[in-house]
Amino acid sequence: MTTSSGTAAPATEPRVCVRYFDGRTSQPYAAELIPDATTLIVQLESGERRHFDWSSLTVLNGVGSVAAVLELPEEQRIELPNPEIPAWIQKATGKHWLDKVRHWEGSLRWIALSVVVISALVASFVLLVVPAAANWIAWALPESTLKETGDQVLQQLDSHLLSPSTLIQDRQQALERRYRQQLAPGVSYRLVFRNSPEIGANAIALPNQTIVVTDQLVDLADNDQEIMAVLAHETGHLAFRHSLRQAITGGITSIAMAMITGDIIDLGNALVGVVVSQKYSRDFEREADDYAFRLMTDRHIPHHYFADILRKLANSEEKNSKEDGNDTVRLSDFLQSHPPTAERIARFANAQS
Amino acid sequence: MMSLEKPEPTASPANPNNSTGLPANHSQNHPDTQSVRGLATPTRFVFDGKAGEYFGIWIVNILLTLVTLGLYTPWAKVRRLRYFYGHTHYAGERLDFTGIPSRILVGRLIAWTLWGGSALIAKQTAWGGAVLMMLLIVALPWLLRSTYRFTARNSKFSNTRFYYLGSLGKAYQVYLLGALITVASLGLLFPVAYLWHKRYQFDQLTLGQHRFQLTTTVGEVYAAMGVPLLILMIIGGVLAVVFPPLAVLVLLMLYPFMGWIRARLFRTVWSRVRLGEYAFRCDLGSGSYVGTSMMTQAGIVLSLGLLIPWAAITLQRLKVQSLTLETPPIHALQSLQQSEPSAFAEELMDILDLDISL
Repeated sequence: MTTSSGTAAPATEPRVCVRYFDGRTSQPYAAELIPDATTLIVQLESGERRHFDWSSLTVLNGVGSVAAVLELPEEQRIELPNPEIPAWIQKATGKHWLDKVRHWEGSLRWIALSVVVISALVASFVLLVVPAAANWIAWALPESTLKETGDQVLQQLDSHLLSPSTLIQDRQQALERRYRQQLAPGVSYRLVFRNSPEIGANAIALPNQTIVVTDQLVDLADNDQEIMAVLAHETGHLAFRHSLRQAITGGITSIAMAMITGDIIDLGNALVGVVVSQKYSRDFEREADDYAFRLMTDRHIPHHYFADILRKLANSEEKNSKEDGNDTVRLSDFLQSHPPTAERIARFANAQS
Repeated sequence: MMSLEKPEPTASPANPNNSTGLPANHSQNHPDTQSVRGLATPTRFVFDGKAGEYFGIWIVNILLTLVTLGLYTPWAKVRRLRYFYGHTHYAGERLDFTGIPSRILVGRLIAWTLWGGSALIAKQTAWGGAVLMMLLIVALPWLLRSTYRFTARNSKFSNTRFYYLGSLGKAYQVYLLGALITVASLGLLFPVAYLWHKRYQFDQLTLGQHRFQLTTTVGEVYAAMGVPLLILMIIGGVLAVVFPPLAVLVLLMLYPFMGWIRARLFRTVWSRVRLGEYAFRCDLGSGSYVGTSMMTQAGIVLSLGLLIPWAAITLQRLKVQSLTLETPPIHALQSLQQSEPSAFAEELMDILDLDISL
């Protein structure tokens, strides 16, 4: 690099050695920027000087160790030696807040702050904003949408996991009549009976105000009061529109994850989605338990019936998993959708009713 | 054509190759390309991004995106791309991304307004939702082409812009017809549609006076996707016969097998890309790609996402450094090959040529 010091502008600032492209070919030329307030002056090795209006250039800010660049008219370009833009150039081209951002990106303090703030924002989003939004949406949706969604879910379940009930018609009708009189008078909730060895003893609340009861549950129960206790819990799910809220929270979380992380939409996101939705569903179960507790008090169903049937459900599940032979890794401890069963049983078993 | 010798890894970013000054030979389909290729020894691409450095950029990007309710995303995108492009070296020169964030923001705001407005209108009418979906599907080829144009025009190598020249008609032919034959053949013709898509991307791309060309054949794409699938099916079949409960293992193998297919496709495509008369080669190892992508995924999960930047850098390095290109006189690219659009037209194009970041 020749430092041909000709008649320099009143330079208190040092010259800057740069690479200059003339816009015609990909050949870089060594050049110098000569500090000047009125125009940008590029001096080539030959001594030739080119002048550019400060307003005609576009600054590409440095990122990490990638150097800053000045893009000039007619495809000309100046590559600065560093990511930092010299102060006198910054003064001429206007304020560059992005240089501050570059400083943050390299400062441990700012990085630590970012991690903390992002964690707090994500946590409050997941714990407060999403459930509130889902709740609002679930109650804003019209009846017809609820019915449509619920019918579709039932159709899906019917074609994959459920088969027609083997209970005789009289038994089904008696249970439904009892449910309506005892737990759901004046509301349009209905029961649907299905056989499902895959799901086992269970009841599922669908958005279309329908509770699916499996034959296995009816068989497992020793008396109808136990079935009513389970139905009280499911009625809680219906009353709070839990299934819908669950679906909506799942949707919001996965969209938000994809939008924020951007880089990678993969296994990690899927796993986060599962864990988060399990957290929501634990909250819903607790809420439904509270509802069942109150409803049973109200309708004079002794609380211990719910504890009894929970115990049986837990036993039958354990037996199933032992038969499958996979009691090595209790992933379920990590991904529990229901609160710990013992805790729930104790609450209903010890209740004075 | 088919040379079996391994390309020599030669490049180091600090050492700019001196151009020989010889003009490129432009005779098309010259039967004796050996003389040209003799000069053009292969040079390996180098990626030297650092995970630690990128972590700061990534985390501050997320912070500012959250704090500004998303308005910062164009700046985040440009900074991410400038970092990755700026660390991609070839024969001493670098790539650069020149997109201007404020223009991208205007484009995005217009797009969001249009989308929000039409969604509102659609909500009022009975078939609005379905019509909107149809419109989006019909607009998709246009959106893809716009994205390619935007990305190419804002990418530079040694101050020479890429340009994308694919026509709109061709976009509709490639994507609508591609989707149609894929669905109609129950997926059997998907490799054909995939190759159309890749050819549409490469064959219309230029750098200076050179045009890219993809010479991958349909057979090669079928082999790239088919071999892993076939092996997976055979393993599944054998397991199902020998010990049925183990057939579930096939589901666990799905992830590495998908990675294997991705690696094979990447290699199949990049081994058959030409820039003018200069040939790319790719020696990405399937094993190292699958191993690395599983390792990085595990790292991301275990670190609750904090290792995402490390994963991105690691995978990018593996992919970029698997590429070599027979060295053209890199300082003899003609930067002004395309007629310079007016500043206004360019600004408008940056706004209209949305980038939907696929």
